[in-house]
Amino acid sequence: MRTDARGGDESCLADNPNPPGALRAGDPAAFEALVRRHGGRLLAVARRILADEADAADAVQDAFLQAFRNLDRFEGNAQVGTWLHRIAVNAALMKLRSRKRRREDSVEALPPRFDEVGHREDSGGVWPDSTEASLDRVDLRRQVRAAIAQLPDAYRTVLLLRDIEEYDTAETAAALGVTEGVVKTRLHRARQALKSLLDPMMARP
Amino acid sequence: MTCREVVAILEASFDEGLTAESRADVEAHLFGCRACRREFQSYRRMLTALRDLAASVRFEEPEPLSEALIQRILAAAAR
Repeated sequence: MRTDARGGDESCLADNPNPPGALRAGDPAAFEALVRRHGGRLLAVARRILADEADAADAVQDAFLQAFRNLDRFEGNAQVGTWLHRIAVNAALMKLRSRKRRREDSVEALPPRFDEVGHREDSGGVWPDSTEASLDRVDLRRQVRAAIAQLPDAYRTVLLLRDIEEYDTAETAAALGVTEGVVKTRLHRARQALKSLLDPMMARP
Repeated sequence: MTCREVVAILEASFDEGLTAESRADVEAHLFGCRACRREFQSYRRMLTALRDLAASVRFEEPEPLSEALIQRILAAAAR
């Protein structure tokens, strides 16, 4: 998993890589500063994983409460933002497992499709090169996000963890409680399905 | 080799790379199959779009939590 600028400016009280005594001692003001500082970023990752606003809010609450109760386990050499981010990913995955199953439709119905002798039936268009000026990157990101949100839970989570959160295969398998082989298969299918969802917007003759 | 067989080879070797023999077979197929060439070109461009999204997510400034959610979290922590 990458460590990055998620923690933002690490200079303020709630971002100090080594949480101050007030936070560890349960000072409400220090905890509130932590929530205000990092909450938005945690909500963003929970939204991506859960694709549901109410569930994402619940997951963020769960994440902060877990962090609050486990401050003594925080390793001083890690960034608070990175530590909280990891807790939020796990809280969102827990929420995903606990909620009533939905979006479990298969991705098998999505292309590629083949004719009876094994040749492609759908020789659709080709995506333009991303360097083409006509391609609006902001719009493309918006479309990719929307398509990811449409993927069934089991595929969306693998694709998000591997391709967006940049977990490696072993980390993804551990987070999801599946084998590395399952992660590889689901990632491949998730990418194929994502491409199929985006083709109508992206492919050009 | 058919398009279906090429897709199966690529899926089986996913994340681990092709053997030299499989690579030669796949390249020979792609040379003669416009549909697969276009498909794989598009697939690579989609991976580029995913990397772009990952970089964007990494540095974007998220919208702050609503005050209602902040107060909910603080109240839950105080219990």
